[in-house]
Amino acid sequence: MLMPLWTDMAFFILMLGGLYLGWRSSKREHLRRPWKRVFKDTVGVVSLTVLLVFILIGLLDSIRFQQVTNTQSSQQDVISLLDVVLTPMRTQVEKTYSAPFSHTAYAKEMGVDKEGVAKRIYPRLKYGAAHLNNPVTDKFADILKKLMAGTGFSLLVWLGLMFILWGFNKRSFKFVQSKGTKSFLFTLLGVLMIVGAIASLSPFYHVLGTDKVGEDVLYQAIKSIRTGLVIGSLTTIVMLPIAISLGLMAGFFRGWVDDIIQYLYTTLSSIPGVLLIAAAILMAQVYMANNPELFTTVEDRADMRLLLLCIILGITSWTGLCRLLRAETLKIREMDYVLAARALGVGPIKILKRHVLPNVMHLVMITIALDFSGLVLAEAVLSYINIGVDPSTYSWGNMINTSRLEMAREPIVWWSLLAAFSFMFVLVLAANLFADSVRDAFDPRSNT
Amino acid sequence: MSQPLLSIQGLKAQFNSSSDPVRAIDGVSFDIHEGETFALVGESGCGKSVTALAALRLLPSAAQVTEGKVFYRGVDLLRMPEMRMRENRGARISMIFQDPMTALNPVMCIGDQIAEAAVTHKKADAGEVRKNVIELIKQVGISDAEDRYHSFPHQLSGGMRQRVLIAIALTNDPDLLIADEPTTALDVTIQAQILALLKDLQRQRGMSLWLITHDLGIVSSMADTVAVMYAGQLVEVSSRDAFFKKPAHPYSQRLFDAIPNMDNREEALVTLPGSVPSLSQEFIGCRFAERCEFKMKACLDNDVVDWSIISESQQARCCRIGDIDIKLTEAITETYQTISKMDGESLRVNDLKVHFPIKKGLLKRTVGQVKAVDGVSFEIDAGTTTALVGESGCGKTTLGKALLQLVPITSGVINYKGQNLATLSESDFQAHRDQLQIIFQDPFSSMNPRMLVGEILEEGLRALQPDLVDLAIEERCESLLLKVGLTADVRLRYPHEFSGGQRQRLCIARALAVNPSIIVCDEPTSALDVSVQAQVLNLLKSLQRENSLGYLFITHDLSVVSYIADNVAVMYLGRIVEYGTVNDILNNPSHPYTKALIAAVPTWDSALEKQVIKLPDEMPSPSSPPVGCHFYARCSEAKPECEENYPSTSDISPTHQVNCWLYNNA
Repeated sequence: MLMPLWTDMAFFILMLGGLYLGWRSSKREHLRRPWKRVFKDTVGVVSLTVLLVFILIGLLDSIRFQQVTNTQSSQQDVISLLDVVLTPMRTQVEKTYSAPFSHTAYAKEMGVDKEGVAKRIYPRLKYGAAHLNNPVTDKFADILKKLMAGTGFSLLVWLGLMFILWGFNKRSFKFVQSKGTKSFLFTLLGVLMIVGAIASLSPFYHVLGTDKVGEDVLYQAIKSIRTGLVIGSLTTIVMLPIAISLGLMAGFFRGWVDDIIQYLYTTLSSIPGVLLIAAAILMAQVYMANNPELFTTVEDRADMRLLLLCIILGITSWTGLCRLLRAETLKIREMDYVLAARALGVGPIKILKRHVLPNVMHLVMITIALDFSGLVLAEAVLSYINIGVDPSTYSWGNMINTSRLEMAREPIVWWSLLAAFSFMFVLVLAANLFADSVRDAFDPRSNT
Repeated sequence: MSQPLLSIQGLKAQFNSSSDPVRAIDGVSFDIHEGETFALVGESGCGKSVTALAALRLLPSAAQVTEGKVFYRGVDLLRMPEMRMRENRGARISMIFQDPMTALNPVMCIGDQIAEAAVTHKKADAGEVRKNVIELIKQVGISDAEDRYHSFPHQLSGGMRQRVLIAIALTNDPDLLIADEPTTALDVTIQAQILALLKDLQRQRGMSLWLITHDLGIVSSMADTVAVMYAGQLVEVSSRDAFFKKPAHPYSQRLFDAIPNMDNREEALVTLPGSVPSLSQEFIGCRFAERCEFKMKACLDNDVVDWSIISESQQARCCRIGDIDIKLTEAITETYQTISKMDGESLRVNDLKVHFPIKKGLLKRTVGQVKAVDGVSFEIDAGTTTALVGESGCGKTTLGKALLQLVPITSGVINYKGQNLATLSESDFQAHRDQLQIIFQDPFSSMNPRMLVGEILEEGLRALQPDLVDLAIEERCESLLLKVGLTADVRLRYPHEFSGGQRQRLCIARALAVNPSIIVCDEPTSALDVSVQAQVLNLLKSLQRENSLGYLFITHDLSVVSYIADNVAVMYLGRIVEYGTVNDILNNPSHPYTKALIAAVPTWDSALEKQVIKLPDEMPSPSSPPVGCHFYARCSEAKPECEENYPSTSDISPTHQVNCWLYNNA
């Protein structure tokens, strides 16, 4: 039985909307041309592929259903498709910290050694490298073997894919000649190899170690992808209608409409965004505490908080785009084609829709791509100061927040921070590079 | 003959693009002698400016010179190290550009900008430089040179800025001044002054002038030698006299034919079929053959067409020079049957005013008015053309837009079909939108780049006749496209795929879509080349006769006026100063301003040689017009009463009115 949360539904609607827009723009030449240029750009294709992998993970994580874990107590657990895929990582929970690829815990405990003498030793992990009898000597060879097997299997899958493509393309490798396809296929190979390696290693090792409660850090990092994507995309969706409608109206109608909107966004942008966000989140927390009947499970509450965060981030971040669109609209409304449309008796709403909006779309496109990475980073910062997502939600911000204390430990626990940092880095870098490529393609001045 | 000052030999330059390289200039050779004015003529895109930039080694990075030599006093500039090239560039050879608005740094005062040019090339004492700069400012005809030294570019008018640019170019006493369309962005009265200034300076300093232009009138008044360029090659090189007596190349000939004038009012202008060929292709034979009516097999036989020497001072690149005698009127021209006055409603404008409030301060209080249009009256009869003439900034375009309520009307009456359109509200005016339409100046900004041609044409129909079915709209669009000389299948293409002339046709089709009876044409041909202009004028004229359209033709080009207009209104600072039939105005101008305008147009007909009337200052601001006659300050025939009161309208003949104290005897 499917158990979707609010953000799940929003995320799916968003993806469907994105697909629909993609289909629409493939019908229109002036939109298809710049996208074709993106698909020919190596950097654009590579970053898009990486982004697509992230989105795929996010989508898998958004399909939730109830799973009866314990028949006796009939306790029901809601898990996502991604959890099923990551089952060994999810279920193999250690007692506490352990370093990446380690076979022992990170701290000494009282235990019994081989001779039966009780003393403080590093205990063996319950799952990590548990299949090895003599981990100190065999571990390295075992890891290497599993790595080879995983990547080798991926390579085979990739070659099989190539073979199928070769068959579909009338038995020729002509399709690889296009720069875009070539970069896509090679990025895919890279991604497949990483996935293969992780798949073959993770049932036996904690690739990125475990955290304080013994949970696999890699699992946490992967689960956080969805949060990052939801924050990045939902916020944009909240922000876009406000920014576009107000920006176009201010620029097109001028007069008092312009005055009010300008007043609104100058006021809003002079209040520190963090302040507004903190106020809204704290208020929401109080509301949720007072109305527990509305939010039955922990997950519901966490999800509501995530949704709220998206909305409040959207409300505080529309001013930049709005200002940009107002300026561009001011320019476009004086263009001869707008005057011609007015002379032909076309109404203002139609002029906005048909003449102004399509001509500012490149700005919207660029802003979406640039803002996305900014928002993912913003989430991390907000969670760090505890006004971000719910502490029970997997997010890179929460991971960084908890590892703050771990950094102060001796010996230092560095892998949580590293994992969150590198996942966020890859996503933000891919989004930024993709944004660059989109901007170049849509920039009217580079159209020569 | 002595060594030429600048000698370009077989120069080839190309723009590298992702597909085929565009060979913008393909083997250009000519000499410029000392003290000579050399004019390079051609339509846009033929490689005129690229030639100049290539000679100065200023080509953009995407372009490169592939072959050829540029000798300056016997030294090849293209093989000179950049260090030494910089000593020559700006000092020995300098250049002035087309647009005086963007060529000056807005945050530096003009004196410093001129001084910068001087200091770059020779070290000198600051006081001395300043003295020289002030001397230069005087020389280029700017009064109060010492005060002007500290003016910033935005405080100067377009003509003044062009003078400053000339001063910068002259700082180091160059031997050769390259002027790339120096007056295209300026009004005709200012143009006359700038040309006179260039001529004077050239005589004083004995320098050579390389003039790049598309205007044969300028060529005639300035040049000693003329070179005509077509598709990256020179097609004719000739002395001025020989060229204007009898151009040898068929293309040069067509350039002359395409110029509209009074005498050919009743016939269609001669146009060139087709368009300028793409420069990325390989040419075999004559590049003009495709569009030439004298074409024969031999034109395409040889790979390269050689120069034919006609006389010592004239040569052309045409293989039929010997055996054809190109005549002006040999091309097929269709004549229009003269038509009597058409019936239909006429549009009467009475005392129309458009004032823009100047708002200042926190509360946006109105502190003044820009009187863009200040009490204008005229009428447009069905099937006739009323031309509105005047310098830029006189309110012509605002008047045109006000007729369509695209700018708010302050007061006045626009009487059409028994109704006063000026007082109608936005929604009531909607019902009359199909009667009045507008065609804009710039064919590139007047169509939405994100819409298909079909959608652009349909837009008006769908807005004004919402009950039309799709099929009817489609049929109408197709017939419109055929009417303006395009094919029906262009409906599914985007505007950027069309050339300037084709775009202007599309704009005409869009205006025609709703079946208007009055069309405001706002300089529809001023952005077009002369041969394309001829096509558009022909189209406008034939459409007028078919549908008995009334045109309000806004323009600054008097040759277009003489060809297309029936009545002419001369506008100055928001008011019409003279109104009459085209004959009245052009052959018997009465107002001193009209006289100055007509005199300022350069012409090559030596029989019409005339004295340029210099208009001293620039136009006063429309926010604070003078109390008396607006033209008082610039008028050479001003009398004391001109300063006190605005002259009332006096009749010179029943069709000819003028607002001037000279004629106000009553």
